[in-house]
Amino acid sequence: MKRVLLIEPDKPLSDIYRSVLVSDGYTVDACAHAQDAVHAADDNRPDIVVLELQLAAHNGIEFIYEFKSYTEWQDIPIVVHSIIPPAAFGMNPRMQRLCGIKHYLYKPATSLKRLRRIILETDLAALGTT
Amino acid sequence: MVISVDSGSQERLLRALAEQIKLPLIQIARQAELSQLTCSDKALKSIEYTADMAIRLIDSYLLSIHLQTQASLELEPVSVGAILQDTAHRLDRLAKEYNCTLEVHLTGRYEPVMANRQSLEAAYTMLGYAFIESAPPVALKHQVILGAHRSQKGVVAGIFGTQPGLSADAFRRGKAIFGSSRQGLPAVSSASGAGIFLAESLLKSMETPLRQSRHRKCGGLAATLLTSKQLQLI
Amino acid sequence: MRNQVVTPAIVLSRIDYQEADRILTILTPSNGKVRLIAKGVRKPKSKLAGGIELFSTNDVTYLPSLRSELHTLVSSRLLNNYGDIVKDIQRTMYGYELLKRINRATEDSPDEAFFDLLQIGLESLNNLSLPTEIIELWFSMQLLRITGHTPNFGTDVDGQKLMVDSEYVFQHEAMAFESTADGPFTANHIKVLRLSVAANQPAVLAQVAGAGVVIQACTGLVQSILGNYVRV
Repeated sequence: MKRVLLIEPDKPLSDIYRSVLVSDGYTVDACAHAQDAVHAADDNRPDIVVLELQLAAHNGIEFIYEFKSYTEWQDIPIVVHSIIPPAAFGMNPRMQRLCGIKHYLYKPATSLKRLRRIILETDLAALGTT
Repeated sequence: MVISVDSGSQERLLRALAEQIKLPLIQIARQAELSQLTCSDKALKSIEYTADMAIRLIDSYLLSIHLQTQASLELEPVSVGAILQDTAHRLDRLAKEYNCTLEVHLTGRYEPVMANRQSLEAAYTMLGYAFIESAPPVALKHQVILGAHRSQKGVVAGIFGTQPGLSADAFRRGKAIFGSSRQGLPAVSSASGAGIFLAESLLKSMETPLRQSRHRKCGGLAATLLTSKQLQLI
Repeated sequence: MRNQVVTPAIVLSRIDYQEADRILTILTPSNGKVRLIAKGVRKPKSKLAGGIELFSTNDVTYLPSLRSELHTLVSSRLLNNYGDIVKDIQRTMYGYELLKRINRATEDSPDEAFFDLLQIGLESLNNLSLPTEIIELWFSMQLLRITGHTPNFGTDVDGQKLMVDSEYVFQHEAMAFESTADGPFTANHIKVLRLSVAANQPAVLAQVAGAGVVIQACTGLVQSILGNYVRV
């Protein structure tokens, strides 16, 4: 069963995303903080990371940097699902590639249906490369 | 007489509010979608109080602007205990959504304090909201205390929680950057912190600024309220 | 006994290695870019930004290897920590971008100017009152200057002095402006561009009245020149 590491600081939203991903057959480890997410990934290697960038204590960019510094995690795809619009970072495909981000989803504009579809596509794409 | 509004600070507050409002609106959208997917009305129930809190955010902002234009503020004797109890009741359902334990803790009885009731209620509701939606790390339980204790200057009443990172320095920096940075208190909360700075604006209008404080080993934010000379009515 | 090297350094990147080690790529003023192995630092999963802090200047001691380009880290002492950068997510992103850009720009032997540039860049980013856009323009222009690709902001393509009331378009082949009606660049743009070359830190640009209006266009131009001439 594929495992999703969900990093979402807002509990009601985390519960919603978790419930739809579980119903899609994923095991979900939900964390609100970047440091908790690193520990969760260490306990159980995720297949996909779904990440909100705007976190408390350590932000999502710090998490990506730390996460990608571990060779055993470098090929794990990261889907950013953030309340911050991509234009705020000048986010473009080059930047995404540099940060190891497979998809950048703007949360207000991403329905549950779209989120599930992107995660499934990311999952299938990762299968194709292994 | 025209009272001028500090437009710079109001603009920052508006920007922080605009960022903050995204969250309940996203929650409502996803809850509605989930309820369609699952054919369950559980999510619909959540929508009601999510929308309620979003409206309170906007109303608090409008109140803070309104108070800035008043030449004088109407004060009356107000029971701190009653205000905190009402606030806890108002926030109860939200706290459950966030798996947060809400507790009112009053050390003894207090004389009424002189305050603007509407501002005080709004301020503590906004503060409570901000603390509830700030999830502590996994190692800590999520508890929010609406507490009051006496000090030499009056009654210190505020909201306290188990989130680490809320220091006097962090609060001071937050006051300098909120509205211009996406997160006013990044050490404490992933959100813009609009609730905290709205509360600060409301309390400032009563000349009782918000300060970092402690209550029962929990850090938080509180205001020192001056007591009324009137007898407490039971 | 081999001599140890002691040097100020800024970490450009880090990656884990085998069971408990990390490989750090650091930038130093005198020895350029150096790769170090830090032994036994990785157990268990480190605290975020633990060990040698990112966005910091450290006094690093290492033992040069005789056989390879991977030297051994002996110790590190924090000199300056630019901890406010991570308090703002956009600054965090831009901070990492600075590190990546310098890392790529210094593929060959870098000189001291790259270290100084990065240090000032991080110091400026750490100043939360200084807009990121100003830092971005200044940094990009300084990168052009250090790599020897400063455009001509004195005369136009025909060698004529740039005029206050003229409008210009930038000619990339000539690396100079050309006068044209309705050109996107005016005297204000050119003033800011000149200052971004001459200023020894971005805070100077922030003092220029009206800079905010033209910053975006100036940055766009500089970034496009960087893309053409410097592999960052």
